[in-house]
Amino acid sequence: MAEYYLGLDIGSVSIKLALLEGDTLTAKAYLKNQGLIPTIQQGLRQMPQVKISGIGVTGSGANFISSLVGGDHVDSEVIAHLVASLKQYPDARTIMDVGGEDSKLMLVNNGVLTDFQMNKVCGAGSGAMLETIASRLGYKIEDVGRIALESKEQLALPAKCGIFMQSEVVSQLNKGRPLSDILMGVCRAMVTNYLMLAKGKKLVEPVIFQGAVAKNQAVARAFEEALGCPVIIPEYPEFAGAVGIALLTEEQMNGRKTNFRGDAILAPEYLIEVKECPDPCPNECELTLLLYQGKLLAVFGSKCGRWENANALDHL
Amino acid sequence: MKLGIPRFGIYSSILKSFLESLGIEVIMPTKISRDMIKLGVANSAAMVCYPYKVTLGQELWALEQGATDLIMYDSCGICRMKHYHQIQELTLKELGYNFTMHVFTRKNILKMIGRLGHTSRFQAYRRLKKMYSEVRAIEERTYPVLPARPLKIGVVGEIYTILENDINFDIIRKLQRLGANVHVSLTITDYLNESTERGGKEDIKEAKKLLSQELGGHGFQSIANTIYYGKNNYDGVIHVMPLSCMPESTVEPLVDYVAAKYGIALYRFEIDESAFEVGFDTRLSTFCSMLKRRKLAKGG
Repeated sequence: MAEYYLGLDIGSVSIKLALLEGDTLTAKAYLKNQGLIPTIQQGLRQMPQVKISGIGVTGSGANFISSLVGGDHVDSEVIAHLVASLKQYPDARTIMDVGGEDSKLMLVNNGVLTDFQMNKVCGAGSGAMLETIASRLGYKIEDVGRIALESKEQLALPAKCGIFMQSEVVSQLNKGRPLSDILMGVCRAMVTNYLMLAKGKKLVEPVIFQGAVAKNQAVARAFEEALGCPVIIPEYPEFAGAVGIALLTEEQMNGRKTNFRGDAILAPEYLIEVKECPDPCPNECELTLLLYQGKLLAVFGSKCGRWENANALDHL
Repeated sequence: MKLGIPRFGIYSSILKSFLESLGIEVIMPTKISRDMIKLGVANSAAMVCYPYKVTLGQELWALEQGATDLIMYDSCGICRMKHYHQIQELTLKELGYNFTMHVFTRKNILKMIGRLGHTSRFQAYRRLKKMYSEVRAIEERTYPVLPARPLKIGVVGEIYTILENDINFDIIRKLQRLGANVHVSLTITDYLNESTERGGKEDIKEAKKLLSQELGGHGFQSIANTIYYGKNNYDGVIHVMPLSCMPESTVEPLVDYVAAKYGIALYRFEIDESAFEVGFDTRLSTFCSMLKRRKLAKGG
């Protein structure tokens, strides 16, 4: 009988679900993050009714979501992206992931991650930059790539801040520049911003480009121009993280029984509460409580970790 | 006299009880709170480094609690931390506080203690020696080497940021929880013994080739200690610094070069008031995952 593994990638902008049968992607869901619990419930409803052998969670707040769904494995999104990429392209040397607000760069040698970098304080090298400009101009983010590819003339837009980019775009529009040239310029500027991550590092071919932004052909072209080599884009670049964590979970299960809570997750009685830690301690942690039918499921956010123990929950 | 003094990581309580044993009333926060940091940031220049803002915030808090005297730490060499006490004194006096500022350096400790505690230098020396042994004991307790932990990680960088766990997001404990035996390259014991470089003469010579001139802070040590970790089969090095730290950002490319030369993984954290903990945790756990996978690949 086939075994099914579910991967959950919690992004800042979107939530991705990937269901693997063996190594093949059989079902997937891509949802805008509109409140964690309802979005995840919606995603799970879209999955086919099969017996899940393991579920893994990655991304921001992965531990929290893991206790909601009964996760079997939690790992960092960098590792998830790496695993997904290497499965398909075992000889990859450079993996670029450009997401909604996060961007990551991974350098690989002989199938082993040797170095990585993530954006630190700025999102101007991520999809957020394109999204801001697109919505400012009244276009959908999905159309940006298509329009930008029609560009005929190269436009030098200053890279750096995404907000200043808006005023630059408006001033270029005022000068009567065609939209396609401007959007292509924005894509190039985003790529330049992203490549700040590669400062002092050598990017070696083959280069894999994944994350939702990889669906934008104009960005891919801008990367190829900047790197001087082709970039390889997997079939479903936005699901790389979810696929990766599903693969990792499969690797980690070793015949363990899954903790997956199944349909219980779909119940509407989940509640998230934020509360200050009741103990008089200088840390003054802000705790996030996950409740189910009025009963406490898990607590996060304490520095000392005392509430992670199930027995301690009764005292809160 | 009520003496206000900024925290100094795991040494804070030792320092406090030591000063109290001299008969001084000490005002030291039990933790560097968000509010103290905000106070410090609001009264500092934007690009001054994080330890300045954090200590200034604590001094402001102490003055509000009724401190009449303040102690500020001094760094070694030509790093701008050297004149922080002067700028802080100026800033605080301009804000209308009335107090006396004392400066703590490696060289003037005996004199300071004698003056503050009204004791002879000999007495001060005896007490200080006892404090040293407490310092060593807490270092051994905080940085134990457990065979169960698979990784060996060295931490280099700016001393206050490395040692003050309230501002470095408790990096040492988090690394230990992620399965790493952490070696902290700068401890107070080393600082007082003036032996902040680990390796032998050759390592120091190699580091001197890269950085021949006095830079201040512990920039030179960051290079020398990375060489040491690289030569001694450490799995990784973490370079911690406050954002815009002069000595540490100057040696950045040199530390990168040394790490690449010895094939040791390196990750750098620039910390200031705008850094956020979730992102920090992600990077830290990814770094440890990377090292574990690397180790696995080497072993298999």
